[in-house]
Amino acid sequence: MLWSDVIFWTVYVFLIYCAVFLLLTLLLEGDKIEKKRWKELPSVSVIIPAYNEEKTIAKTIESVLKLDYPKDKLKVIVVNDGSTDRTLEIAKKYEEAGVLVLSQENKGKAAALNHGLKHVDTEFVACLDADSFVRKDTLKKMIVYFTNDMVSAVCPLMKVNNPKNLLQKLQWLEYILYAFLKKIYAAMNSVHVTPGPFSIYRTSVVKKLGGFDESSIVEDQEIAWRMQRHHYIIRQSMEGEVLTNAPATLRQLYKQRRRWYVGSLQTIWKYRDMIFNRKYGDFGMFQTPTLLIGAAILPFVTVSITLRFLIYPVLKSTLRWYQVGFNIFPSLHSLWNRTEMMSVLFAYDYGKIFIILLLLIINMYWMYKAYKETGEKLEIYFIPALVLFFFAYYILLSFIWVFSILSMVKKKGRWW
Amino acid sequence: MRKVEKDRYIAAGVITIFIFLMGMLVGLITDIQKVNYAESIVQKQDVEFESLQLQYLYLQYLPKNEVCPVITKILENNLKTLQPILEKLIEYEENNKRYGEEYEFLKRKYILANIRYFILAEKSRKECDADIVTVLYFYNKNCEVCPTQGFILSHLKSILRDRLLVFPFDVSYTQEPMVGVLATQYNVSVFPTLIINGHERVVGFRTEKELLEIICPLYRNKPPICEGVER
Repeated sequence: MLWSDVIFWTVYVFLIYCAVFLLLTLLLEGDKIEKKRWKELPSVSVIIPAYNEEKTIAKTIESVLKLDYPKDKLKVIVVNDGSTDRTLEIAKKYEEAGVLVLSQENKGKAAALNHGLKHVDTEFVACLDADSFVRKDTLKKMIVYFTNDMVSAVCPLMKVNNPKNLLQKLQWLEYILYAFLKKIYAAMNSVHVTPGPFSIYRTSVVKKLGGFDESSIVEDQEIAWRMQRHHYIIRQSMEGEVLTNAPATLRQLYKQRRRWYVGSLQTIWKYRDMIFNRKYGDFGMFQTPTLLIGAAILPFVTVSITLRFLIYPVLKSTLRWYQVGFNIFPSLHSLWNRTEMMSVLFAYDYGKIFIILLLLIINMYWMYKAYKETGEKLEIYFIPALVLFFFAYYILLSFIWVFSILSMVKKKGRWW
Repeated sequence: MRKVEKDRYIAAGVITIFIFLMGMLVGLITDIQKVNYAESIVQKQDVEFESLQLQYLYLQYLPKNEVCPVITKILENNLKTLQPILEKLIEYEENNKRYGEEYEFLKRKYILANIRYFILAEKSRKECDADIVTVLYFYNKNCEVCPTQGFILSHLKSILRDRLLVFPFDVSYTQEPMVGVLATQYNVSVFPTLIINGHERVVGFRTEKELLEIICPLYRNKPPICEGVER
């Protein structure tokens, strides 16, 4: 056995195991999540932390004010985190509509949330990034998941707002697939992130846990891990939608993902004693180990496999074809020769082809389910989209992972 | 304290192992198929070569003008089936594939067949005035430019078809002594080395154009690609 074969088979076994485990969980636990019929809707505060968001803040605030929810039960708090643009000015305009506008020096999102939290006296509190928008029914659809006191947070169904270019469309697809994954995570009580756009928390729990961690660059992951540590339950809504703006360029995407990925490594490191810890159930035994492998090992494997089996051969054959002036017709002609056609059969490793096909089929099923669960219409072009996602976008993300980790190692201590 | 449902972990493991074994099985079955296929070709080649040798012996009693067209024809037909397969076998080795003893056995047979064809081709060139060029291509596993040189040769071969006969030999393959004998006879020490028409030594990497400049003058009836090529 060669090293590349060993890696290939190990990664393959790992991926298949994860997929099988998750699908089994979905099959066994997927429909057991309960909902609560509130006789009287509980009071909710929405905190909108904003740092230089003059372009979107108005739309964000308006989307919250338009929520289909009793007005006396809904409180809106905007925390201006030392913006240098017109954010504060725009937010102030909504004071008439009952919005509480707070302002602080630039201290980061977590600090802004904690600042807002001090003014919260409602049973629940939602956080909403100032680049995201809720739909009218989002809050009502989400609040039903707070079935008992142990349910400490509910995550929304996050979708990319108005995707225009290819990169945004791929992210749109990523969010859809991820939402479905999170439904399964919720079914096994292993949600590890309560995303910034409109996750709703039980105020008493957040306050009891000491609010958001201002030293973390991904406070939305950190709070979820902390809740898991204290055995609270986090639910995932598949109905309450929130739309968020996705990065339109590679550079922006890299910046966003570097924060996420470095942040998730920090979070995993902070709670490393939970890895393979039976005390935390599926979160300890399945979620934390796979998150660690997915964060610290898989990207490197994917990148090296891509370099070795995709980029290197392409470069090599380009150089070879360059030698013959890219004249492909003679070879094409001899391909028609019958014997040549037969010997082409020699060139492939069918064991590996079988596996790649299998993974594609699992992904296709995954995608089909994800579209259905998130209420999206399934179009025929989802097959090429899936191939593109699988072979291009996933590889791109792996490269971003690797570059993020490398940049983290390089400027140790300076995370931004 | 939360509980862990062991059964789900075990069930997922069992299903995974099952899928994994299926993948291995598919790989194994196709590998066997491949070796079987190669073997059947070898057997066919064996018979064909025997028949060819017999024909050659027999035809030596005939006048030259009756023998040669037949030999050239047979040679062309056989080279069409032999050469691409030898190339594929070598490609395997490039990708570090191993099929055990059977594969080694096959490879040796192919190399021997290749050498016999080379002798035959040289005879037909010299004695039958066949307007062809033979190239003995010596390479080595550790040679970095060799795959590119091989690629250029295959390219030329796909243009010139049966008028250019390329016989590749991996000198690092020591299991077959005949390869070493050939390498010693032609005094090969640098890779790649080409022996054109059994005597002209070309040492080191050559581009497509440089190769054409060497090969083209050797044809009496110039192929289209040789137009405008001067030595």
